[in-house]
Amino acid sequence: MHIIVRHPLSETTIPCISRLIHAADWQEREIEDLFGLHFEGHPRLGDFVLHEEWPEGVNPMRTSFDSTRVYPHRESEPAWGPQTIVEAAGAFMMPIGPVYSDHAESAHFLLETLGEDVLRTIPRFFYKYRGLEKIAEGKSVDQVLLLAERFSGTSAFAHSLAFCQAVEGTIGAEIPKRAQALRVFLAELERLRHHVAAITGICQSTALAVATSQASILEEKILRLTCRYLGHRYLFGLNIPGGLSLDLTDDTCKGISEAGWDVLEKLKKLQGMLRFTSSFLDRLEEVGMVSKDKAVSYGLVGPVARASGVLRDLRVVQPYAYYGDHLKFYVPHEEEGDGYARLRVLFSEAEQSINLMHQVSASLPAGPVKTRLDPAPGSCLGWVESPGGATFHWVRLGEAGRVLRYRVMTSSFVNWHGFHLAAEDFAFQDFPIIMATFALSNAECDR
Amino acid sequence: MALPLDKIMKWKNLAQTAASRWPGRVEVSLDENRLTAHLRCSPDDLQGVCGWLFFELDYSFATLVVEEETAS
Repeated sequence: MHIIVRHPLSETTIPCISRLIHAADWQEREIEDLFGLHFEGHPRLGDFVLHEEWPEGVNPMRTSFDSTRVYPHRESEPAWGPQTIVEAAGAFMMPIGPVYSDHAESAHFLLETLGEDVLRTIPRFFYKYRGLEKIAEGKSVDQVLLLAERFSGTSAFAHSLAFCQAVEGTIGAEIPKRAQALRVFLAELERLRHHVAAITGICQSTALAVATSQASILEEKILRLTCRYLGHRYLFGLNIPGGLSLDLTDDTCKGISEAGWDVLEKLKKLQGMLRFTSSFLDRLEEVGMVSKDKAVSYGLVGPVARASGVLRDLRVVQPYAYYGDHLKFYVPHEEEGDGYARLRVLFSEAEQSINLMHQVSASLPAGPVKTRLDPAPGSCLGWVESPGGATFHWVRLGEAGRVLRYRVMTSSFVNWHGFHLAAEDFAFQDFPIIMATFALSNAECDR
Repeated sequence: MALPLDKIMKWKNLAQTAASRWPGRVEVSLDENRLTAHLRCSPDDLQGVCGWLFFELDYSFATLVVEEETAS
């Protein structure tokens, strides 16, 4: 479904839809900053992507924006802070970030606490916003592909696939069946690795050293396997508009698939151990809960949404590539919406990914893995169910296949919007654990 | 784009339903190859159309795309 609204740019006020559809809230705020469009009736506009130092009235996504010009730095008074704060005896505001001592990317959270309880969580991102969509303008499809698969290494293959599908859609290209099947195989391999990494993160957040080590070993095993067979630990350089840059022999697929069974066996053993570790379960059960209604209202996606009972998966509701009736899998979901439900969904989805890889490798179609594709003017939306959830890449191509407009919507951007739901009304010691169960990427937000 | 059957039926009736709700104001074009519907409306009808799709037809919100000067 594609709703088109024409509006003269001289009139910068348009009706907001986020009052009806809360899922649009952050996107309207982003567009207000980047395009200078004012969404009438939106309760909270300004200082979102562009922080307080950014000069007023300069909107970097407008075509009139001159990236070579030096704009004066704005002195902000007062410095950024919440519009309202809790005032009560014992109330305390705890800042977390934006700089972390480990490898975590920049993000700033203000936790308003009363004793140990977090009353409100105010997130702030975009400290390392890269302007990916602007950089893409005027570039060739091949150049933008490099951007698409590099802005977040955790789901590089999913992003390159969504971009390629958008480009292929502009001319209605028919992609060879073997390429479609291998794309599914590789997408599931990426999902498996992502979910094992997320499980590692959850174990680490609860200080379970042995479980963390065991999960880390599995993640590293998958990364090395990927590197050995496909030339890159994070599946870079494989998707190209028209198919894949590399064919995998049937034996290679079977080899990776066999290794997947070994990973699954160890994952099941790990899950069995975690299920009976009461100190672990105490930190996850009934912690960081998100109700189904809230998950729907915020438009949450992926394992986070499915752990709250929202049974949506683009591989099923809008099948693409080789997904469809000929591949049998189920979409795991839980009802509780707590940290433990999210962990169970991750384990179950990892198993389903291995199952899918096995099905594809057992029935790999013969034939080429790429078709010649000459990009032509047009526009199209590409979508994938990335490991984190629904992901969309929209492209408009002009003459000679140059990208005129590129729009990327990531699962982490969407789920960070709803993260505060899980983090509020719980003890602040639970904060890093809840964050780990969401398994989000800040780079996908600061794209 | 492949949609479940029930959605295809709703999708096929989109133009009729939109025409009866917003006579002459919401223009619907269907792309049979991609099973995609393009709805054109004025800013005044945007909230009504979005509410209809989201709450009555059970579509999910994906993304907002702003295009300057290049929209066809």
